[in-house]
Amino acid sequence: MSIRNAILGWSERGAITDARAALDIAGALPHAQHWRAFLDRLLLWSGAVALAAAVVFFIAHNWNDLGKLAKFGLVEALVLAAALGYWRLGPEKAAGKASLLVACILFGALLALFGQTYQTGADTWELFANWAGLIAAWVIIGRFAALWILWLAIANVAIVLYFQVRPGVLDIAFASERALWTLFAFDTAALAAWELAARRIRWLDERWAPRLLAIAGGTSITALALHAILDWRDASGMAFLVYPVWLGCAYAVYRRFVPDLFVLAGGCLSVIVVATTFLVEHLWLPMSSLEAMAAAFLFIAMAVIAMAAVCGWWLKQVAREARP
Amino acid sequence: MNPASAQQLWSKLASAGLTVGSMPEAQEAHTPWYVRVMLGIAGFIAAAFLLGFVEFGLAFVLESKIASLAAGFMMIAAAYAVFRAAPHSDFGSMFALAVSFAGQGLVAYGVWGMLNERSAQPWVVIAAIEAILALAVPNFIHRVVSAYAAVVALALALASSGAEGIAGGLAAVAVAGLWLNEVRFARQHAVVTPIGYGLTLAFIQVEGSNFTGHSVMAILGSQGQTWAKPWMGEALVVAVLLSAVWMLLRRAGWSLPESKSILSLAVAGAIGAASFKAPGVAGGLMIVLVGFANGNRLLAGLGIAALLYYVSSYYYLLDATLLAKASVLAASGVVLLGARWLLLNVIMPEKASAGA
Repeated sequence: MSIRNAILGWSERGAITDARAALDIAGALPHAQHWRAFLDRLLLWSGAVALAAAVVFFIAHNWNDLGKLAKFGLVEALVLAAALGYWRLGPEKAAGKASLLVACILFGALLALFGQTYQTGADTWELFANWAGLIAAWVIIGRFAALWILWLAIANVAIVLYFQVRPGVLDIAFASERALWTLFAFDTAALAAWELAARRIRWLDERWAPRLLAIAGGTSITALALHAILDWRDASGMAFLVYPVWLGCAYAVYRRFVPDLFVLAGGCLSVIVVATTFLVEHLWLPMSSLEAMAAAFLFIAMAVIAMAAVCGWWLKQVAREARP
Repeated sequence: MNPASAQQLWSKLASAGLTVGSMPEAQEAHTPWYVRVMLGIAGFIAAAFLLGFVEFGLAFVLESKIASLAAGFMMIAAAYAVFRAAPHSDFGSMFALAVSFAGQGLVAYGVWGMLNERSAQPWVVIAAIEAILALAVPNFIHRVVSAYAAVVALALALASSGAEGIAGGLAAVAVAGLWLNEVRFARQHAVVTPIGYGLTLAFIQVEGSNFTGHSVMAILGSQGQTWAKPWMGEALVVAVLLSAVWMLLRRAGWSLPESKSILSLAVAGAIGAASFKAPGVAGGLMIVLVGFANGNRLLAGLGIAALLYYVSSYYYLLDATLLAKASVLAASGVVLLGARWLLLNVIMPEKASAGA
């Protein structure tokens, strides 16, 4: 429980005479210096994102009144200005990091402009793959978690688009499954690498980023498990083996080594969704009479309630242990 | 916070003369928001299956609107009784949550069937029922969901009356009014906080619905004339943003004649003005500022997520060309970075803020 919640909880029970003064004294409310630092970051990042988005929207508009040389000149000048901004401001300042982020986004706009102008015939996935490849060096020198997440997001999009246009010679039906396996492998490997690296590298030690990766990998393997249950004749069945292993590993890592209730809660939701789908497939779908269907629905509802109650109880126990 | 830290905090507050009596005993441990989200989603899944049970096993309930209403209200009443009787039971709370959600589904179905579905009537009734449930049912997740449903139903009622443009503005008034006065309602913390989150989520949703490019009225099949234009709602949201900034400046001891106060309001107005072309900017910014001012990181995070959602949805807005949108974004970016320069060099120069 945070200081804020503790004081508001005491106020609710009539134990605090002036809640605002109490929050202020406890340091739960921001002072002038906190406001300055916060607004500095808010205005910097929102301004940088707005400017980068403006260039992306401008390129997407494909304005014919502006010649191709002028367009290339404009975007290249902006990429150069952002890269110079990073070089001048340095990697330690937030403004330097924002400049590098803008440079990376604008580089994608430059590649899109190239494809748009010369009609290279390249697939869309190649644009994203080239984008990820060409900004990799900047991402590495940037030493900045948000930039790595941007890079991983671009790589994820490239993977999805690749399987949309290249489903394989024989198996168009398996394209989505192969895409999900590739995404799962990529995001889980990235998550493992992040968690290991965060032990040594301070700037990687931000929980929001590995949580996003855990959501990405967890969503893929959950979708694969659902596919294996609902379409077991066509699915490869690998998910029946990998899903429990993934759950076991997630439990071991986020319960023992890197305690993180967020990932455990996500794992619980995944188990509830997969178990419910299993029950629907084997209890409800085979039923032919209305009475049997109704009974199946009631049973599944009670099973979901029971699973959620057990998960909620367990997660609260873990939360309590985390704050002895 | 562990018991030792809590005791330390209590002693600090006691020495400042802000406490009454001895430190209250620790209540049930605080449940993190993501655990609540997980339980809420599971509640909806279970409710869907309960409704399936009613459809296949008790078909006569759905055949009569009155029977749907009666069964729905009975389920909500049963859930209320379970919440009251066993507030700390995990299974009881989960069961009651699912039963109540399913009951609300039946009530909405009954109300929808009994009243003119092309008018505002069913939405007003549903909004009133959800508002009562948000206040009455003693469960955090239930209050969030009911407050959210009440605002969305009210927005649909306004849409059916030709006033969909002002729904976001009215929601902004409620969101800012509640969070800025959170401390005044400290005695009702367990009621006010979840309702605040429900209102905020609904506000983000209603502001975001402006991006669909389709009139909600047209989707509902309403024949009424639109009399409230979208700019009216955005003007209201910008006014709420300015009021919130003004209130926060006063809280910090800054008075209006001071140039830094006027400059701060002008900057907020200039950023908020982008909302007329890119809906959501003023609303998202207001949530971020109020969240940070209250020391509520979750609320500030919701505001930042809303801003990112609005920027990415902006691409699909059909009312303007990509060139026009690029111009709005470029102008907004310049204003935001200009505002940062003013903040760091004129409004709050480093020495002045360090001394404050």
